[in-house]
Amino acid sequence: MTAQQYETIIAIAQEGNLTRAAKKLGVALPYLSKQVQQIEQELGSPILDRIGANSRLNDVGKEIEQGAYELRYMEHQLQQEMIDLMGKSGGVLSIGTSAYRSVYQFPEILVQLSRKYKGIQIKLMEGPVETMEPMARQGIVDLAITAAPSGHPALVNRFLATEELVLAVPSHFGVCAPQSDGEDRCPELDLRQLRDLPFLFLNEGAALHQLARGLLADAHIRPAACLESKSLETIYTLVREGVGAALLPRTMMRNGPEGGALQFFSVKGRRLERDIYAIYRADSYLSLACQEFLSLFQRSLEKAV
Amino acid sequence: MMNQRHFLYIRTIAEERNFSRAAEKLYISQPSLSQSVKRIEAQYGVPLFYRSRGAVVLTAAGERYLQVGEKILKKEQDILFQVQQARDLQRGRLRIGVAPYRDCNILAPAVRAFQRQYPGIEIVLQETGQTEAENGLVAGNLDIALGMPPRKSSNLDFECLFHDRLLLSVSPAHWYFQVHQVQIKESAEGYPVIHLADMAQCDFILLTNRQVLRNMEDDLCAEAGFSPHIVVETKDVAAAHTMAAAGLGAAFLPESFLRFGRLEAPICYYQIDLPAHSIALGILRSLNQDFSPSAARFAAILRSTIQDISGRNAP
Repeated sequence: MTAQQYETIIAIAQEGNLTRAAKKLGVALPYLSKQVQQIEQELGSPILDRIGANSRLNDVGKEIEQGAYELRYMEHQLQQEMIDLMGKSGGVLSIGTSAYRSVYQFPEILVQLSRKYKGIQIKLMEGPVETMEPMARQGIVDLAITAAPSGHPALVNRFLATEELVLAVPSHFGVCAPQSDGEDRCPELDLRQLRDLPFLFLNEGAALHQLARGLLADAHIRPAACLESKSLETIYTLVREGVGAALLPRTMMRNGPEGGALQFFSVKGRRLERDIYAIYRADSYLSLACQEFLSLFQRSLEKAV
Repeated sequence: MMNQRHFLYIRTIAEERNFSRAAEKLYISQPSLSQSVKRIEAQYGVPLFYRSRGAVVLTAAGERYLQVGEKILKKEQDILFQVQQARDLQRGRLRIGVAPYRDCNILAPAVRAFQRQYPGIEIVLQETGQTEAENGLVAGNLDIALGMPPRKSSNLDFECLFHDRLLLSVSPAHWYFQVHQVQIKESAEGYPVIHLADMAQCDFILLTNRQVLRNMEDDLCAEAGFSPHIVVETKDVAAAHTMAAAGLGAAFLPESFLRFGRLEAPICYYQIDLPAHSIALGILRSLNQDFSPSAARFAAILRSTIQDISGRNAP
């Protein structure tokens, strides 16, 4: 199998259809079909299940796909190591993250990083929380930033910092709270004021979902209408539109252009926070650029707290 | 991505410490070798060699390339092997021997699960005796068999999946119970226990002589101190059961028939008040050849379905 053949298989796996795969690879469809035929001939087995217009990899194809990720990962690691050994900069750093971090937490850090490591190519792979672990495991990303540490034995969870959370409430809900003493602390809200008001949650499975549910349950509050979304970005937007209240990372409040439509609160007697981890393969080589990214990110999280 | 040829180029240059000698050894021209090296270096963005007047020496990156490159190429071999295994599961034949029961109640769920998962593989069930199954495996005519521990051949591997024991089955309406005193005790664990010696005068439906189960039946009766009057001999365990249900006499029934099978005739089953005569059943395979991927998958499925059923129906 050649490198090109591996890439072909990955593209088909990701696109689920030959036409789109050809587009992604920048080749003509007949050429791609011919390539597939050739692979099938070499292996002596079909690699696709053709279902109408869609082509799904069969078990043989999937085996190659998994292998291709592994080879790509090893190759990528080798390149990183060689670059560091020779004191060069460049290479690729890919990071799995939720979209909200890309928007609210990364920009500054990435500017610094790319200044120090000229020629580096940073790939952000944004996705919902449940995709982070598989991406890290398959080596599709060098590391993933997540609030959900993994129990997988092949992965390392590296604690970075604790992230403070705040309650974001649309201003027109008319809840109010006395200013708190701490200069940097939000006013403390009596949760009972949220009774009968709609609340928005991150999808089940996310740490933030559990936290928010627990918080409301402890205060014996059943929110009026719940809405769940996969993305913190969406939730933030909906809160700003006045749809409901939500529990959000405090960084969103610092940087978000909410323009007075939102109020932020802490909760009396409770620290609202979650732990943030970087997860990556235990057998991986963390490039200098990667380590630099981690320490920059860690510092920025600590500063925010 | 790394390929065998490029790796060989770099390794040869490192060994020869000289481009032209390496090119000679590789049967390519020196300019073409230099071109290739340049391309590889450009691909990784680092130099692999220091070129000085006298010699060519690996850089730190070059050394790493050779170390890791070997692993990558080895990994690729592994992947191709895995792919071949997957390919072999796409189609082909799986020949399964079933002994000693001429019945595949035990196998049915596993066959169904396997068939669903690997529709391309044709399953050939060969219902044979224990000896035929052993011979078939050794001769390579069977891929896997369900049977008892091998008796003849030492070239077979046996993995026990469960223990089967014989129950006595007899219709509760059988006249024998009206005429003879039969001691029956309720038991906390499953079927009531019958005093086998009390059945000495009863008619028996036994299996034909050539089967292992028949030996067990004879042993049980001998231990109970009688030689049974045989009303019918049959090869088929299920047939023996049906005849017993019809009131013809008593029959011995492997417990697995109750666990795995669907016997619906109205009949009573009894545990026998003699030391357990159990029979180990499991996977037989030949040690002379590797398990084919499909046989390995089937064995795994069989393990889990049997575990499943024994767990669910255990009396």
